Parts: sequence; C-alpha cells; structure tokens
Amino acid sequence: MRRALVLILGVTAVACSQPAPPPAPPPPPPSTAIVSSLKGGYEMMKGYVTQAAEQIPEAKYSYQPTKDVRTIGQLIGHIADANHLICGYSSGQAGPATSAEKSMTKKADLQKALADSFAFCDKAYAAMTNDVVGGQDVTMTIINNMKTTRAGAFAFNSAHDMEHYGNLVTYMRMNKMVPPSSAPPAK
Amino acid sequence: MKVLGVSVLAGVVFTGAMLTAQTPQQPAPASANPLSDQIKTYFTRVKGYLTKSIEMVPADKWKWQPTPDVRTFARTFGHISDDNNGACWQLGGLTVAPARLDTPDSMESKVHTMTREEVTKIYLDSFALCDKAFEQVNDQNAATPSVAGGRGTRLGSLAYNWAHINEHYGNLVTYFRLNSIVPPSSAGRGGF
Repeated sequence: MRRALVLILGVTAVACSQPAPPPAPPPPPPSTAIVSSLKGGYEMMKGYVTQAAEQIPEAKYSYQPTKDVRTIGQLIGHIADANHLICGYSSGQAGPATSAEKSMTKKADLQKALADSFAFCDKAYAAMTNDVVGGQDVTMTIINNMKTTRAGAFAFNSAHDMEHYGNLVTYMRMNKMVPPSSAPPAK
Repeated sequence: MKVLGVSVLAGVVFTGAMLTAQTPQQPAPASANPLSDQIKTYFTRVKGYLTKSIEMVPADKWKWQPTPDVRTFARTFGHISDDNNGACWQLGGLTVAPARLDTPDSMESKVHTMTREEVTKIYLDSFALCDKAFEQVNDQNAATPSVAGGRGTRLGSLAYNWAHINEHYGNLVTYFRLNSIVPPSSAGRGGF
C-alpha cells in the first residue's frame, strides 16, 4: 500500500514537471467556399447587365420589341428593384423599396439605380459566410411566400437577373448591337 | 346490396373524416439539405418552363429567329442541351461528355440537320442527366470542388448552370412574345 502511494506521488510529480500543453489553436475562420462560388456567377452577371445598360443608347431605353413586354428601361429598373428586394432577403437587412421600373425612364437615373442596387448586393455578399447561408430562414414573398435559404436567395437573384439579361440580349441584337457576353475580349 | 354498399361507403368516409379531424396538421419536416435542395427546386422550376417551351413552339417556327444574329428556336434548345450536358455529365455519372448539338455556331448547326423529335429527346435527356447530378450533391459535399471544374463548388457549378439556362429562357420569352405566344412562366398569371 505504501509502495503504491509512493508510486502515485512519483508519477504525479513527473506529470507536474512537464510543461503545460500549448493552448488549442483558434478555430479556423468560417469557410466562404459556397458564397464565393455563387459570387462568381453573380459578378459575371453584374458585369454583363451593367455593361449592357451603358452600351444601349438613351434613345433605345424606351424600345420594346412588342407591346406585351417590358421596355429596355423597364428591364433595367426591374433588375435594380429585384436586387434591392432579394439581396435584402439574403442579408437579412431590408434594402430600399425602390420602384425604378415604374418611376424612371432616363438612362442616367436607371444606371444609377442599377449601380446602387448592385452595390447593395455586394455588401450583402461581403457579409456572408457558409455559417450563415444555410437554414430555411428567409421568406421570399415575391414567389408565393416560399421559404428559402440565404444562399438560395442569392442564387435566385443571379438567375432572375440572368433571365432578364437574356431578354436584353435579344433586344440588343434586334437593334444591331453586340451584347457584352458576346463581345470579343478586350485586348 | 345497394344499401350495404352505401353504408360501407358512408362508414369509410366517416372514419376518414374522423381521422382527418383527429390528426393535427404536422408542419413539413425541415430538409436535411436545405441549401442543395433549394437550388434543385429552382432548377426544377425552370426545367418545367423549358420543357413546356419546346412543346409550345409551332412547327413552322422551329427554325424561326427574330434577327439573323441570334439562334433560332431549334438552336436555342440545342444550346441548352449542351449547357446541361457540360455542367452535369460528370456528376451525372457519365464517363464521356455527350457530343455537342449546337455546333457550328451558325445556321449550319447540327441541330438544323436533325428532326425536332431527335433534338427534343436529347434535350429532355440533358435535363434528366442534371437531375442525376443533383442527386450527388448534398449540404455535406456542396462546398467541395466541382468535379466539372470551372465554377468552384459542386453546388456553385449547378447553380451557375441554372442561371445560364435561365438566361436562355429569357431569350425564349422574347421569341414567344414576338410570336404572340404567352410564355410558360406567365401563363399562370393570366398571360402577363
């Protein structure tokens, strides 16, 4: 018994003489892989739409290929309004309730509204990590109160804008313009 | 016999009604893969629009184009097939990428040498391939590098394809409207 006690005390002494283990490293920063992946498509779309708005002359902003569809100006305004709305869902910070589609016709005004809306989405993307993109905590009131994830809302916004960029491509071609996505790369 | 039959039927209906009344409405269970399921839901929506679109094009408009600088209806469907196949063939389990349809990029496109039925089959198969690709993506592997490369993550590559084919759906919407046809996405809203 006494021998065992000596042995325990010895082991304890040896253990106490060892240096303290180093503190655990801090947890790695949250991954941004999914957001970065979605943002790649967003940046491409933003570039195309912004360039199209710049490239189309003011006189064509009232152009519509047939009376049942939006004019070019209305499309640009619609994209700006949607960016504010949907990136507001994505970020959890409501964007300004703009109505550029219905209230603006001048190219400069619509370009500014578009640029402001993309800047709003840029901020929303910048604040996102993979830790906060999941979870069905966003309600998309524009499509039947559908519940969605924050990443889903980002992706929806890009795809929605791309659909309307697809409208613009046809409008531009009908006016003998080469849309940005088909323009030769800058040298 | 008739009375017995009516009694049994009434009993079944009554029992069913009681069960319905006693069973509280349960909320739909949360998805185990909210991220990837959501993108698939959106993809499925535009797939529905595009599947309907190819059916809706009148026979005499198959090679119609609003201006010579853009694809015809037929070539647009061929191009969408190529997009789907390019994004989904590896995740969808193929070892070799399907041959491109809309090539060359002109009116001499292979699509214009094929029957509408042949193009439609390849087009629908390309969507089925993407459905298989989505089955390989969940929230645990969504952020892993895309096997197709080029667009970051598995989820990102499929989201990109969805946005890309949505762009071409946007082309088709204008084509339809120029032909006084209400596109599928507007049909449910009374045509607006």
